[in-house]
Amino acid sequence: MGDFRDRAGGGAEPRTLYGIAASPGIVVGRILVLKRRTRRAGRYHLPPELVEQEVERFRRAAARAERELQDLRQALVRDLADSLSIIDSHILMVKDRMILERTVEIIRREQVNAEWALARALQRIKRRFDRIADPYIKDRYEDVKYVADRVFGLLAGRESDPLADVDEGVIVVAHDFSPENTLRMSSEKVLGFLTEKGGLTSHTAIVARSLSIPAVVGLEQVTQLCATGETLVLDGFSGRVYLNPTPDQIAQYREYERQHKAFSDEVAYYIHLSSETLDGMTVRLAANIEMPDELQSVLRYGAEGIGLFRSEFDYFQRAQTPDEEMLYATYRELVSVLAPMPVTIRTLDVGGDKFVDKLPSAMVCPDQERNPALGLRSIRFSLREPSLLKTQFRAMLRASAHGRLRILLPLITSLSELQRIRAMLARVMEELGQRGIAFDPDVEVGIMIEVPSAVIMADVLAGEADFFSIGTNDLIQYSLAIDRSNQYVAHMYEPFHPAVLRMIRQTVEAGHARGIEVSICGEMAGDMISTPVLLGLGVDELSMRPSAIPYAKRLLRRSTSGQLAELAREVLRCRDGGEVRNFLTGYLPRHYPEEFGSR
Amino acid sequence: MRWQERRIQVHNRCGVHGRVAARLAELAREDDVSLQIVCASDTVDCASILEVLSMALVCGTEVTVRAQGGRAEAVLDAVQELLSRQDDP
Repeated sequence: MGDFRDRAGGGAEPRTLYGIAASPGIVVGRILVLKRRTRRAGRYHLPPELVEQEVERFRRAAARAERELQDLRQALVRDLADSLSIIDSHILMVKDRMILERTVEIIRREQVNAEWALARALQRIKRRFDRIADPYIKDRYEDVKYVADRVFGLLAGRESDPLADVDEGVIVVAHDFSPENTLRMSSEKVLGFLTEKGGLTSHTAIVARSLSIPAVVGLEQVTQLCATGETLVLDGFSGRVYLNPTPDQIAQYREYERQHKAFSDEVAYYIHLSSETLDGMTVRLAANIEMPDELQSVLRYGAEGIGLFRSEFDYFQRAQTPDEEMLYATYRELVSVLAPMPVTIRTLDVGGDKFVDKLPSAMVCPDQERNPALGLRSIRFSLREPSLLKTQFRAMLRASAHGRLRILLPLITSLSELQRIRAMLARVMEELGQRGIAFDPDVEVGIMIEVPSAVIMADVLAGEADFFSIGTNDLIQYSLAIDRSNQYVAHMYEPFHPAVLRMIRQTVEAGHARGIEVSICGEMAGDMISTPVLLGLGVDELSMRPSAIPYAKRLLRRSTSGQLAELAREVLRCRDGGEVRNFLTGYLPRHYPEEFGSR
Repeated sequence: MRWQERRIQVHNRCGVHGRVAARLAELAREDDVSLQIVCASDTVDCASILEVLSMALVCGTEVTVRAQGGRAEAVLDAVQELLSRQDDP
């Protein structure tokens, strides 16, 4: 322990990075940075008598690569179906004729070494994949590279286990992991994963979740920001990573880590229990997802609905804009699987930092925006492209006939905006009605509360909206004027800023005064430390990553409504974010000793 | 032996991606059937997952699937079923 303190105290500034929480759990540990080796496949001419020997050498490496993959597959338990199918396709690739036969052919025809021949075979595959427009299929070239890297490694005679020399648990940091690497790292030596690439559905994320190893992905340049042997804190619940942590942070997170390990098994027991306090106050715990593939985990973790379906995936997975039928198929699946539980679908939320590079070029605003966060984004983009929005409305309305669908409008800043959109929706309903198409005429239309103007006008907006959903990420950014991806000001991004807490309170009160539900769907909702505070502020629904739901439910079931309300009152009296955190540091371990421990 | 052919439209939501292509390769291997996909001027052998992937068959594409061998009909049925699914196998 002293060792860690020394290192942490040694000069480098503490720094917090925000990535994507890909697999829950908290770890403190030393890191091992895996730098991607650049492969150099030189060309060597072979005398004719050695050609067959070279073919044999290549075949052995390819066969061994296949055997390794088969072994890995064998070693996995049955419920890792997602990971298995990835490995299965890699096994097929390593014996694919475009790799195997083609490489052998080049070795023989050009009398060259196997590495050179394999590199040539890869080039040809790459050229074919480069022509593919569909990003999802195009990305499969990454898999080809993983498979080839394994063969290259074996050709070089390298034992490919980077953990062979490691004798203590480490957090492994890399640009990206192949799924096999991730799987091989299921050993006790690996405490967590950290990658530059990837999102919630990347291989690393999927495999890490199935192995229950905490992971944060999508942290750009992290392999350059830290070095092997340093200590860092990885919080797989919130996506936060602390580089050069202070001794206090290390001590605090070591404690969280210990508690998390101790109760993560027990939490599974909460999945089937109702989400209510000891005195019977219920709060809906719902899931945030972005693609129908995640439905399984929505059900597995006992979500009581989808509080936020980010509808962008359908728009960016292929070259063409999706048509009504395709969107309808997606929405109908969600709604009918979860019926009678609610499914809240947010209309297309693009622009600002989100997906702007993936918009079909015809729709991109030709002028570079000077201030994209304040520019043509989200509902403003939809209003500028009304045909897109109408198509989405038609698909949503048709799906509403199959269960309980709620429409969520992002970035609303004024009443007139909301009225304009409701009028547009009414026209779409009329058209559907004339065509005799079934839909729910009472479909609920809610708005995101994510800019200060919407909070201040919440009492007015509540008259025209059927529910509120507070998006804390943007609300914090817009009210504190902080871009948390900007390293100079990121430390000022403070979810517990009293201004934020008061705005949440004000929104809840305005909604309840008009009898509408208020939900929170930002990252804060899934952060264990904020859960009791948000519950105390009186929200009706918390929507979070599916895997965080059992934890939130356990906190809820150990609370009483009176105690939560009292906590909120205390917190609202604090004068700045630091005071709130100090207060919670004392309060949480007292009231939830198993979750937060005594410090 | 004669080739049996069938026109099939790809309904898989994400197109013929990794898992679908892997399943096609299995089908081609399982029953000792030659299985090919023809799309525009390209013809690929389903036994090669990489050739199938590199055709980039997105949702909505129409292809001709050809099979040759004792169980050609049954394999074509299986391919039709596979490509008509909206969800992943």
